[in-house]
Amino acid sequence: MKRSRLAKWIVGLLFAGGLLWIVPLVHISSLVSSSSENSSDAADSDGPNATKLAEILWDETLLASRDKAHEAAAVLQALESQPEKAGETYGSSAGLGRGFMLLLRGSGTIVAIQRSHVALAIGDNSEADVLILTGPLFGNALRDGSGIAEEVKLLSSQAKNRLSEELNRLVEERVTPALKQEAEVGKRLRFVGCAEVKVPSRFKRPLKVTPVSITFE
Amino acid sequence: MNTHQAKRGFSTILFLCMTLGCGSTDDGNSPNSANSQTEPIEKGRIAVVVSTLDNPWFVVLGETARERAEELGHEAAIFDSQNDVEKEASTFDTIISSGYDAILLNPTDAEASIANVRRAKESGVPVFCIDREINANDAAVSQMLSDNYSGCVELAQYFIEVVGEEGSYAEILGLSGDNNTTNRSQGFHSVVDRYPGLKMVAQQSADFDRTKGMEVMETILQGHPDIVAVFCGNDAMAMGAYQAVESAGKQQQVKVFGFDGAEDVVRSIAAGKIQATAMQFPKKMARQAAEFADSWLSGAREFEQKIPVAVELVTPDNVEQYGDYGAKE
Repeated sequence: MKRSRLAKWIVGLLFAGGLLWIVPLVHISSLVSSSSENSSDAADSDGPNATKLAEILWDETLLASRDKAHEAAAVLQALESQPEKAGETYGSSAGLGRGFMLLLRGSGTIVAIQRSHVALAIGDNSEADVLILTGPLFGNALRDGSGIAEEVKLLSSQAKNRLSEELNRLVEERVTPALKQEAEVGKRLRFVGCAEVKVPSRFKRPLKVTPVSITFE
Repeated sequence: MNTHQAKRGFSTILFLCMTLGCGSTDDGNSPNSANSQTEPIEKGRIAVVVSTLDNPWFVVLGETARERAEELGHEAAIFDSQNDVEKEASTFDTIISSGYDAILLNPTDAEASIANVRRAKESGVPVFCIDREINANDAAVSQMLSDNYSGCVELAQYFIEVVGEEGSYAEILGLSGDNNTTNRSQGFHSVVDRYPGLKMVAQQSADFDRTKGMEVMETILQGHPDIVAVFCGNDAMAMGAYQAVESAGKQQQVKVFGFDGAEDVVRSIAAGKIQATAMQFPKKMARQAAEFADSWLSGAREFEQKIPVAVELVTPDNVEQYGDYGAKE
């Protein structure tokens, strides 16, 4: 090859190589950063479909979490004797604040039925220890008390709020109708549910519980 | 070397240039990516950027953050964005070029403020958001956010107790573009809309401003003289709305509800005027943000991206337990 032609090749190659270095044909991004950026964009722009997400989490997380529920009798006693410690032992909290969420199970006798709740006595007395809420249901007890909050923590606040609404709707659809229909004073039932304690130092029974499952004995 | 071999050689080299040039990018967008700071900074400079200093609640937020930063040994200064994202952007330019080490940000807009936070991050300045959210998980180091939605869920349940399940009411909204406006309204409506006897006859924004709140309420009262309640997206607007209600002589008829836990509204509740508010704990959020910045400057890099801060309902029944932008322990 003649030298001049070789020189031209070399110059052309260097130019092309430099151009491709600066403006490559493809760009490879780190899997970690691209996935976190993409997932955050997908999660925060409109958020996932709350209805579908609630149904998935209901089956995969909420119902599965029932095994981790604490005995309501023990929790109530701890709340009255050492409220802050009760939170450390039995509660979960998602951020800063005095309160915490609880995941509870228990059984008791129905002592009263009201439009918004069924009152349950867990011990031998006739006074209500727990109010099983029958609707309309509000708040984040289900989302934050069941472990779901941890799975969705990077969603936008609005997406998480919609999720809470959908979870509450599922309770009103799947749990509380049978409770309202079958509840009678004197009947016994077993429950699993979530509750919020806002200000532990001021806790007084009865504790309001959003039910996850109800079984009449 | 013959021509054919030379061409093969050059093609190989060209191919290598193509593939090596497509190398992985460090776009700096992973959350807590390393910045230029490698040594701990004992006495840093921290900028506290507040959305507005026209509202006393935000003044408390900013001043608490500054005081805590100074207690921790840093120099701190407050900047006022005047509810203007362009002003916030130029403030960020100033902060970055002046060599500040960290920013505590109360964002002006959940979307538009993202670019400002990313610019700071790319310049090696960590940003900690306070009270208001930005809609990105890979820009700020951490975001301390009042749980506005559940605060308003609780407030709305009290609204039902006080107002009843029938009647017409109004809603005065905060700034559009602020997630807090949406979250509060959504939380409120998630409850109130379940009661078909309650009808919202007016819904208008007053930009979280007291004077605008009063003007909007005056207009609402003229158009809807029979309303029985108004929910205001913050306490400044609630104070303005109450002024309008009082001027119209309707303080017995129209019940006013706010949100924030501002000192003047807490006093108003104690005096039997405004019905309720939700305490947001600005001092707790501000102190935590300053402490996070201090931890960062000391070398910490693991922070929760979003930290909800609980909100507590303040009513005439428990108002004596609250004051000074928090709970009396």
